[in-house]
Amino acid sequence: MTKLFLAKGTIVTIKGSDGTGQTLKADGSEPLGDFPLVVLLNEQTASAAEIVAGALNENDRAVLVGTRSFGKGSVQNIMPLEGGGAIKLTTAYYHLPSGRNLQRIPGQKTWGVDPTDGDYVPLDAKQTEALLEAMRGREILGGKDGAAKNDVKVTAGDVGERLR
Amino acid sequence: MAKDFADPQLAAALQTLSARLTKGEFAKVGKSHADLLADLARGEPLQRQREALLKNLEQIQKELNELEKRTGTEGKPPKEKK
Repeated sequence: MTKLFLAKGTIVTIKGSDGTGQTLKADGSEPLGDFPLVVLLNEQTASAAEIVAGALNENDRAVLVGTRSFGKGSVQNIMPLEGGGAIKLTTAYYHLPSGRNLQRIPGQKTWGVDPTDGDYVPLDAKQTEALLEAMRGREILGGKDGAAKNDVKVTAGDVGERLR
Repeated sequence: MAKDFADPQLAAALQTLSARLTKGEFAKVGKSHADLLADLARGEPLQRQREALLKNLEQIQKELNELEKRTGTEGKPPKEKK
């Protein structure tokens, strides 16, 4: 996904507990071309979405608007146990090109991806409530080939009325 | 968009993208990192307060359970006042 927008640069490094890492880089293709890009993020933006947002931002490819992301940057492996059970073990963490660990670790002050400086747009309680209301009201419409489409049918001012 | 669709974040994104397309520069549409850090710092004492209250509630529940055991009112709803 990141390679669609980013021609060159480091995307992410996966670091294990032994300190060794595997770095993924853009391969120079960038099939969608170079155009202005703004990415929205908030506390629900997690995992792969954080990697994409962080890589695009740290490579000066996109501006990030919203609030700090969730902070899910762990890699887990499922190891089968005797008797049919399994253990899910965290084996590595995703690090942004700057070296920042995406994972939210208790007690640490940085995690996830921050919006661009000057583009931190938090929602107040009333706005969050209005947004959730608007999302709940969305009707899932059937797509052309049976796939669901998350379309919104609203009249102008329909939802905004709730903010007044 | 903020007004009509209750989405100030999407409205801000649209605003900065429009500025980039019309004026050549992205516009700053929100608060700074300092504001973000201040908001996060404000959350810390609230989180601690919440944890303390939950602990307190847990203790009250424990004491209440003990009392109910001793008085034989365990699991019985409180009597209604006539």
